[in-house]
Amino acid sequence: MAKYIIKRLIISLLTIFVLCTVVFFAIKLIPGDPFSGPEYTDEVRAELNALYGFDKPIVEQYFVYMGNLLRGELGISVYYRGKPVADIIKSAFPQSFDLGIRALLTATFVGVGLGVLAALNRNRTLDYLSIIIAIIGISIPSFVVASLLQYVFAILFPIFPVARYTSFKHTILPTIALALPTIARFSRFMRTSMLEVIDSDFVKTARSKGLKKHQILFSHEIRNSLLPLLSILGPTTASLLMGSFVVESIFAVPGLGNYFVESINTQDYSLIMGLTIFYGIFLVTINFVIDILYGVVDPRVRLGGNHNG
Amino acid sequence: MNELLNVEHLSINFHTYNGEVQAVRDASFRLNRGEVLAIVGESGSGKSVMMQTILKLTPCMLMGGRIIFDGKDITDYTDRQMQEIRGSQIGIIFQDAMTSLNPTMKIGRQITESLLRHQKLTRAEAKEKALELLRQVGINNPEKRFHQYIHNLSGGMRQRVMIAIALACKPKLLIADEPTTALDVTIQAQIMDLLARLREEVGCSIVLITHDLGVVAANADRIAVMYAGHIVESGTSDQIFYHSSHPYTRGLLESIPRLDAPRDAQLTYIGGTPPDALNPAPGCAFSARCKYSMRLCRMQAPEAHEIQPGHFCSCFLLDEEAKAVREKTGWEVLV
Amino acid sequence: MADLTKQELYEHVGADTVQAERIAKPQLSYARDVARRFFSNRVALISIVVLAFIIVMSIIGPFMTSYDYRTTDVASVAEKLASEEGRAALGPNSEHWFGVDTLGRDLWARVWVGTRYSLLIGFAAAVVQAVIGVCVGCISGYFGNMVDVVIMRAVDIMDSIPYLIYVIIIMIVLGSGFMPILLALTLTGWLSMARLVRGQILALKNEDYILAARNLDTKPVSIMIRHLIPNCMGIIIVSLSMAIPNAIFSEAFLSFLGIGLSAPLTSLGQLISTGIREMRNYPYQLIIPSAVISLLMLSLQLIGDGLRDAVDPKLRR
Repeated sequence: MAKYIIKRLIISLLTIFVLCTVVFFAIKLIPGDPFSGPEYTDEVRAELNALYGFDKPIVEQYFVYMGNLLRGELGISVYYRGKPVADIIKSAFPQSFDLGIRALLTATFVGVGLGVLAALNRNRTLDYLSIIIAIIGISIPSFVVASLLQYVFAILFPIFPVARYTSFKHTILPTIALALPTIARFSRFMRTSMLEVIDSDFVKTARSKGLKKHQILFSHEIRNSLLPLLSILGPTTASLLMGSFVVESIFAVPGLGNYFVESINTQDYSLIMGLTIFYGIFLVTINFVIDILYGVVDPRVRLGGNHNG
Repeated sequence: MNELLNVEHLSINFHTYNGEVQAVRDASFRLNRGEVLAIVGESGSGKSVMMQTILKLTPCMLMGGRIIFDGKDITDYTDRQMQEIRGSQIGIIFQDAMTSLNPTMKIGRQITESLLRHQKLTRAEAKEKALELLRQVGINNPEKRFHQYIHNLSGGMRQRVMIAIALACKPKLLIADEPTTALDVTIQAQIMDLLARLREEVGCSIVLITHDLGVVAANADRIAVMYAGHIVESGTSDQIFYHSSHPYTRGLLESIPRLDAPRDAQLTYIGGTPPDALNPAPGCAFSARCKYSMRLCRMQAPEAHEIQPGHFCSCFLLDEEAKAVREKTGWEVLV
Repeated sequence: MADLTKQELYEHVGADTVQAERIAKPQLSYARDVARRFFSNRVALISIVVLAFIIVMSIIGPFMTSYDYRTTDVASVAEKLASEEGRAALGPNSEHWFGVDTLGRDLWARVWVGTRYSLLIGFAAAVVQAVIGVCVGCISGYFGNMVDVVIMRAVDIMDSIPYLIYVIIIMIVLGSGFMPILLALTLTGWLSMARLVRGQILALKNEDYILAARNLDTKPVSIMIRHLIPNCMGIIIVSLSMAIPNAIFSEAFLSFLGIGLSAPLTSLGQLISTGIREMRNYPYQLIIPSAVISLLMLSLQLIGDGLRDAVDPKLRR
């Protein structure tokens, strides 16, 4: 187990290091500098470049940048004059986190529920219904879903507010829009996983003990099919994060995703860099925690066995 | 009353993508209390399906026949009614303990689950009983094993746990579905000895499903031979081993490799493959592979005849009229 | 039976060797078996028809109208905007079947040209990704040891971050455009294919026929081409079919972020992100391209599912 943790830890740290390096040099490759606009005189430009350290050789800038990163300093936003990137993240993260958690919880309950119901009603109406929901959720891009939701439920029939993120009512549409692809993913996964478990020998053993239907369902079938769900929690977090770019900017949620999209449009490179690195660290940490958790929950992983069966 | 299980004219079908499979046809057998009945047959002969369908563990359909267990007709029992019988009165051991035990549940809980379901026990009492059971099936250090998962155990140990689960509530009948097939030969004997010992202790009857005649010879009181869903011959061990009267049974016995055979002797086998269970040809299922086969065998399925008390056989060769064929082919009646 | 005498009935006929050795099911080759399963899947067949329709329209659609997808007509739009009826006339009508956008460009032509570019990006990116992925996977799986460790660690490291983040960074560096998108998608999209192929090769590597080929001193390259890749073809095709909608989706996502294709080129993603801005007043500008991309993604996804079920019936439930 210790060896497993250390291995995962090294890979995680390497990932973050590679990401930071790639991002740094990539941004430096971009021709032109952020102060090239006509509103800057040569003098001001030189001053700003000195202020941000852009006049130093690139390798030196790299080491300064990496040093700053270790101290948690992500630089200063160019678009929001003088505002530290770290402060922007601090103020925007809670909204994104809130939305993300809402979406994840919704998706878990609805997705798992749908998947279980589908598996229990194999090849019946409910099953086909959940397959259709899953296929639609997977194949329709989230910005289409989000903007159609907004159009139908906020503009055509003004049931919910169009945008912003201030009350519970404001959270509903963004949560649904963000959760939908994950609902689809979870219900599909859960269905397959449940069907595999239902057909497994150990469920037959459980039945041969005379256990009641609900006992088998909860303590054997759902329990065992939920475990593999942990393994897609990492990719799910990543896709929620990508979805948050779209959903937050469509519903004007003042979260990280909204800032990220904005920073691309305003070419605020230090904000892009800061956010990318923050995302990287966030995801790598989540993946690391999930890996460890999986090892704890599923006794087979610890021995390096396979995950199914 | 000495009879525990009586199965009469049982027929079982199941669905596949390709159509309806006739898994079991007109099978009858009975089992007395304290007896060990071995059901012998090759893979796919329907022996497992038959026993599991009796417990309603398969999605197969009963097409006819009657099942009487412990004096009660359980043929039309619902799943809910069967739940009361499964685990408490009939226990079952499956072939592969590795897949038949829940990999993510502690061993202890898998045993107490059954105890708590059928007996009014507190958790502590159930745990005490489970530990006792683990000890009984020969697992040392049960306190430690109780909190382990199956992948911590060896194959033999897993099968012991499986046996502990099946016998947890002291059932009247234990179905052992190929209990030793997945095990090393040395472990096989241990498990069979354990089953024999536990039968004495618990006082249950056993239906032993196997394709290994060696296992049967040492352990069974009675034997039923199955071929392509039919019970072709049944009787006591002696009757089957020394007075076998069905060409298939005889073929099976002759196929056992012998150590005292000459070194250059060919191994004996039964030519051909079992028939297609999807659309079986009329007549005796074995007739296509049977070198004694007569024209009648291709047209009509033989009925079971009691050729000796308790010895049943379904074959036209036993008929008076088949004398000429018997003489021509050298078939001896060993009664 | 009545017409036979007892004696005839009890006549010895012996074993019927033909019947006894008969194997009930007709045997099919692997490829034909896969094809048979795939073509018996009605949903997949309908999806193929839908996909074919979309492809054909993306080729001939723009020629069906006399309007060019690039030509703006700001003057007429401005004129129409002045009056209430004029504004309604912007939408789908007999002249402009899908209406016009806010710059007066014909939406019918734009939608099908956009579909064309979405499809081009999807297919091209998926194929290049697959080629890179198969090569890397083969090398990693076949040679094993250090090569494998290094490649797989690199893949692990890249895979920990969603590839779209890398794609975004690359697009920011390269600027928007067709080639930059293709480059960005292919640089990052081969990981899963490489991992998949490697896994298969590892499993196949120790098969007897591979060992035999090695003993005959067959060159690794020809072992791969002759034996290994054909045996992985099933999952390669399945994975390829899944990569196409992924690439289309990624391009649409980039367009939404404003770093996709650059004008005058357009794609479905590009049209949708413009449509979102105009949604309040001109919903058709959002709904039409959304419907096309949804149909396209749906059919691609269902074809992919069908292929997967056909290649590996075990996964089918």
